[in-house]
Amino acid sequence: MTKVLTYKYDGPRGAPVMKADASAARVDTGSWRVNRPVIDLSKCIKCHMCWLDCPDGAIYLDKDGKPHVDYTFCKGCLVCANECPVKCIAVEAEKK
Amino acid sequence: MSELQTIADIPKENLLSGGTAACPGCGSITGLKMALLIMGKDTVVVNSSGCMTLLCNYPRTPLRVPWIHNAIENAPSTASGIIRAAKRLGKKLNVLCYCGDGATYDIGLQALSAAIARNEDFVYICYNNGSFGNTGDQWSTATPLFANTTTTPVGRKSRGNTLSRKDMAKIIGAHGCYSATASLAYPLDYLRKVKKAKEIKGPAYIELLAHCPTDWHFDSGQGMKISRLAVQTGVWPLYEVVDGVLYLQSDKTRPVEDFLKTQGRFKHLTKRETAAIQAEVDKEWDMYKTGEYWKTDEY
Repeated sequence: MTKVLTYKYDGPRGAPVMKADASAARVDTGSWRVNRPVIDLSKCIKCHMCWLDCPDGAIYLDKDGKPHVDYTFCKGCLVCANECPVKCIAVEAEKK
Repeated sequence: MSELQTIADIPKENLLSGGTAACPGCGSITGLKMALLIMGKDTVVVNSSGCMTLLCNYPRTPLRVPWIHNAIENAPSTASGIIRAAKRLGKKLNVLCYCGDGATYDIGLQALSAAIARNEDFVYICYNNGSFGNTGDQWSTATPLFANTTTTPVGRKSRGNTLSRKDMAKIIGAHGCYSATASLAYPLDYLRKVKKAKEIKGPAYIELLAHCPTDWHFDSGQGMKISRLAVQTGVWPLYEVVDGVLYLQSDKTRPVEDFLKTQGRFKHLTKRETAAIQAEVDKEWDMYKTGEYWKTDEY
């Protein structure tokens, strides 16, 4: 999971200076999603293709090297589902 | 050099978080994410105006490395300043310029050319999506033939872009520095090139084909497939230019139609226009095959 650190405003010094570590991790882009990728971990071969190809860093690896989707960030582009070599990522419609 | 044998050899520390303003399925941000895996923590990312500038909207940044944004034409000049300052402070830094094709091909070419001529130690990655994507898909010199953009629209009297694409990787290669093309569909090849560029003392240029679902008009999940087709059809040949010698790394195995029919920007193409694109690609590949394309013994 993404660690969120605080940022502070440095005062009016001309150019805006951000002293933050991945503060965009507060933004919930998961609300953009229309379709949701769901990983079937029993079929996963741990090739890490989905982790590498995910544009948003929404797929993270656990200690065993298995991928999990962070639905806070996943925009539902479904690159992972298309690139999975064993097709273990299913596509489900997002429910309200 | 070839420590990156499999995907398991790639460092796992992700330096780019989610929550960005990039479109779903964006190729450019995937390229930045992959490059940062190799570049590591001691990297300063220099960006000229473009799609990737929108990552760092004040007060938010998705990056875990320092980032500086400057005007569209002078990312390499900014990088030069950072390199000099780091040298004076006695710090070891990797400087990564991550700029779009508009900033590289059109507006920022002279700054890039000058920085390479001064032999600055930086890595320059151009994410090429074939148009000024950030401002709404305007024509750039990286736009391929007959592509539909907002400034070269398709209508009764216009058939899209009438001009061919510049070969930027060869132009930079002619400076005598390391230059390469890469595709996101071949991540290990791309990351090996980034690693090589990082280890080189001096300028290194990598041109990355970044699929753009918004401007190329395709379904966001199909990006990697389209990038792969671009390499397989020969539209985007993979090569490295090292010391003035071009090493070809891919082969043309499919007709260009396979690539063109996947995207909305080529939807209007007639058979004659497809044949014209095929003829242009064939001409380029004939020159690769005969070795006539790359000659530096002219002077």
